[in-house]
Amino acid sequence: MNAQDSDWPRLLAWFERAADVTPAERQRLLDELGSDDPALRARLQRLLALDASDSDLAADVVGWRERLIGVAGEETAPARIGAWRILRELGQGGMGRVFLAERADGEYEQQVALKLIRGEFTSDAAVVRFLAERRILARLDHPGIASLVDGGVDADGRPWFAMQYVEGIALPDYCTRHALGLEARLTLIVAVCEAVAYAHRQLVVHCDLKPSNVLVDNNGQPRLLDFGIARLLEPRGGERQITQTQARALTPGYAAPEQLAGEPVSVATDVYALGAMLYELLTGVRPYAGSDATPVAVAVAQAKGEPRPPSRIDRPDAPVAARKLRGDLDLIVGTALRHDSARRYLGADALADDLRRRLTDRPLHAHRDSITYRLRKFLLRHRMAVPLVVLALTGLIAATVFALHQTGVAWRQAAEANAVRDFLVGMFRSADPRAGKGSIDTRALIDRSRHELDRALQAQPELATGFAEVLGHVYRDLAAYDDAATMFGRALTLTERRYGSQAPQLAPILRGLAATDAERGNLDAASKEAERARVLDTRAYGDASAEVGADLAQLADLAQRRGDLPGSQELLAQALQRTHAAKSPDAARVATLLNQRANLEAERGMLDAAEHDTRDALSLFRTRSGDDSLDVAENLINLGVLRMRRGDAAGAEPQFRQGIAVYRRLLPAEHPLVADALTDLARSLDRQGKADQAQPIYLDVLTMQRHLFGDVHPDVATTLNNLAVLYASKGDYAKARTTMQQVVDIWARTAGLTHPQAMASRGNLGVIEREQGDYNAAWSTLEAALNDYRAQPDSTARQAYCLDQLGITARYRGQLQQALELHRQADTLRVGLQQLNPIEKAAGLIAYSLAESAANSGFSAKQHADAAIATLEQAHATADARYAEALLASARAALLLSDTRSARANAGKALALRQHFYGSEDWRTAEAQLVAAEVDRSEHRWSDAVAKTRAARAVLVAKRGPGNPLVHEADRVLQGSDRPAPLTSRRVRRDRLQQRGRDVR
Amino acid sequence: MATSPPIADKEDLYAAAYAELRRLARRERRRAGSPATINTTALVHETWFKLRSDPAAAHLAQNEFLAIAARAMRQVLVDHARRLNADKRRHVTVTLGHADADLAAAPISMLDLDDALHRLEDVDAQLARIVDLHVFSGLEFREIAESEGISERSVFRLWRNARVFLLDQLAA
Repeated sequence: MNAQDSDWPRLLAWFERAADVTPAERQRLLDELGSDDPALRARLQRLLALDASDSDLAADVVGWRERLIGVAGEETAPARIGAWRILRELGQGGMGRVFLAERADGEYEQQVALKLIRGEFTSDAAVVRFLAERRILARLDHPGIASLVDGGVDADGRPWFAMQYVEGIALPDYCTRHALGLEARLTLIVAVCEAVAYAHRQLVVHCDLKPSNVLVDNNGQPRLLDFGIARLLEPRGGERQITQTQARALTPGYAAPEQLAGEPVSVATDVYALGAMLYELLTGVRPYAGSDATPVAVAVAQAKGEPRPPSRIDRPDAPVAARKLRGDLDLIVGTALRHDSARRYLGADALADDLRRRLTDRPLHAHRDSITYRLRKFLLRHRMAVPLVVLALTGLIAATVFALHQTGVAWRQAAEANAVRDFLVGMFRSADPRAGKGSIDTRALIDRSRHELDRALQAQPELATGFAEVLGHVYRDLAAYDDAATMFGRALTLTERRYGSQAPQLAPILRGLAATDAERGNLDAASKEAERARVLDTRAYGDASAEVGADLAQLADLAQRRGDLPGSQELLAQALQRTHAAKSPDAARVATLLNQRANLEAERGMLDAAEHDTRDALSLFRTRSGDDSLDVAENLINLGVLRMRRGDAAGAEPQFRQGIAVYRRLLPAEHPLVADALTDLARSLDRQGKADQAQPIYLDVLTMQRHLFGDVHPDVATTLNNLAVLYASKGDYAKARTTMQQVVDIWARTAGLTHPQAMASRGNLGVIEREQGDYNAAWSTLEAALNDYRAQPDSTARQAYCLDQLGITARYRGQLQQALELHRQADTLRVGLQQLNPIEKAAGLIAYSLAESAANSGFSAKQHADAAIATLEQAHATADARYAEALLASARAALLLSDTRSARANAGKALALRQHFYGSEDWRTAEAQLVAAEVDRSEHRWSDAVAKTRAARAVLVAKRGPGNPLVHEADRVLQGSDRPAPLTSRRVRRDRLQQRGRDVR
Repeated sequence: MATSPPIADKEDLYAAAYAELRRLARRERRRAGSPATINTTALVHETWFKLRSDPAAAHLAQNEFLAIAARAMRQVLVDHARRLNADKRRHVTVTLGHADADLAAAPISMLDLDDALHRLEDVDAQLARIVDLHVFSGLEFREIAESEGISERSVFRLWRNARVFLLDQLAA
């Protein structure tokens, strides 16, 4: 054969020439070839024979493909299933086998079509749910529906159904056989729509409507088979075995785009299938005919556009003349077959109504866009415009309820109802309660609408339950915890009444209630509720399920609130493990749990673990929703915050910038989240000594916050605080002091003076007063702050800070013993702390060292300063302003010990750093230069010392004024004798002001 | 048509499609209770549904993906047939419908078909691809025409060439 392969191209070329010509011409070609190459002639003749053997190539292939791998070994029919004796097999389908059966126990005479489904359930919980829902389907009682009689699971775990046996023929065949005209066809479809609409009102969707499921019986009554069965086999809570085949065993041409895409189905899915059947009845072909051999092909065709209007099909054998379809029927079919499910008819009723209008020549409704469509468009348009949305929300909730009511949305399509719910709840979340202005309006609106909702919901208890739960979440997000508890309680009562007290449906409500009780400080009640949710979920879904994971996460939160941090972390680990073990781990849930744990770890000071978890969460969110999502931005910013807590401001800056870039793409220009993130960025710049870059950012944030919240608001206070600190660091203490005074005034008018941030700002004010030279004001401000801290729990670190600041003030005043005593107290307090920010620790050590140097205790001063250097280096915080401070403190101590080598090295390093960060015209650079001059003096290089001191003094006088202690120090160096003077002079230490602390959110 | 992704992506995707089809085929066999029943078309589609979210598939044109999936499906069937052979079970066969009487009577082995398709690939890769798309992915001539960027008439002509080639080889 190989020898011949090279001939194939030639042979095929001849074949093409000879294939479609007259016999005479073909003979001529064969003769032509034969004279040249007799062997090839023989082969060509064979090919032509093989080709002629087939009249319909395509039909061949279908059989070939389907039977490619042989024929299934025939299973023998079982004798009996459940209470049913099998009489004979009616057929086989994609789902399984269908038998004719009758009651085996002779209770009563009834023949049923018994359907044995391929596939099996893998958990008891799934079987229980399956049987429970089967009972709901059995309640469907309509002449147009072959009702479900029985159902169960056979010995092999295969589900089966018994439904009324209908003797009839499929809808299109019936129409063809009776050569029905247009009106008769429309009337039949209307009857089908009515049956479907009835089921929708009973909150059941069919999901697999197709001609073979619509039989017309001997009386001409269409009967729907398999109602709700496709949905019944849909998994929930982890059962995934059945669906994949079932969902894919869709009939191309009748399946809606959302089904082919594997998205949630709704009433609109049935509307699409009805539209497709109507299309076929009118044109004789299915929508996308010619490209509907496979689900893929249909999905492709659907994606390209909506089907050709029926009137444009125009086949010679069409059952209805094309001209009769033009206009109304094109519009009706087109509306039912819209690609976007929100733009189809609201329900089968609406479709039936327009068909009746066509039959009686009344105007159609179809051209009007549906309410749900408008609603959804509205939601999408205003998603981020928070204040606008808040104003419109009440209307929306009412409209949603109305729309759900109108469409008779099936409750089992929890997916859709949940989507609406999550959307509304999510919007409230984005309307952060801190956005003071908006939240008041929201609250009032919700209160007003509650009454209307009550009335609207009475007709729909299922929806009432759902919306009570939604309102519970909404109230909780608005921090109206009593109202939230009332709503959750109501949802709980309604659900218990409907499903009993052991139903897993109770669990999510219990979690909401637990979270609410936790906020109210009612931790014992919260624990009981969360524990009950866990028991219910474990029973229904098994221990290794996402539901139990959610319950454990709630319990972890409660443990954290009780202060049991290790216990909380253990619970979170379990929650993560359950969520991972669930049959389909939800990446978003896992990521949210990782965020919760990172928060906890950050609180416990486990910064490595927190960063690790945050990174994992970030990559999960990225995989799930791409780079542009609020979750991604939030995690980027949290990474920055964690680095800031390590003192790594340079490492934090790029994280903040990335996060802000995402926010900028997603949020309106002025948004609280943007303001917060910009504040973080400015802080990181500030910490790196890039005050000039930080200041315009703070000013932008201030403008933004004043627009958003008004002049008197905690966030405004925070930004003013940061600006004041910035002014102080530039030496503009007068401006710093008035600004910081404004901050304290805002706190006095809002959260009170003992709010943690108010306390921090009061400390800052004291420091500014001191640096301005007003030691008495500084002393009383700092002392008052210290006393208030002493009354607060967990304030040890802050007390130490105040003690240090008082110590520095004492040193400025020349009261060195008092200064040393204060720093010693601060140091003792810090020793007892397990977790201490390295920057704070270093600051304390530096202050202590400077006091010791002032008191001539060079040895311990050097030790403390070097410990500060080591602390900062260990924390990779050498870019922090404190690093240079620590180096200078060490140099000053070294001078006392006559260790000029060490003094020179550290002073030189500090000078280089400050020159780099602040330039040579800054007072801080001048301070470093002054110390360097003192080193020169101690090495007897007088002229160098004098030159440096003069230059430094000029800067110090210009920037800090002639009365500044550093100027006095410079004067002493210039007047110095041939021996270095002991450094007993008062050393001025500008101490770093404390800025707004911020936790990982 | 979208720009072609790097070859590595296509190979990854082929491997992924193959693995997924194998998994689905195993599941189907387990479920059906009969080791020989596989609805190939449904499997290809299910694979498509699953793999189209794969980043490697994202920049692949529809038709490119289907070609890859069709090739993978063929491989699954061949491997399945080999396994059955190894099990000394019956040879997996196909029939060519109501074709030539002689041919219809003679069952064709999946392995022989695969061999013939490999030979066809050597002669003309496009012909083999059209068979794959038509037989294993279930695309109609019109869709193949779109995917190959040629007329439907040309597809029919090429399919006819491919078919006589295969019939010739299988009957040899």
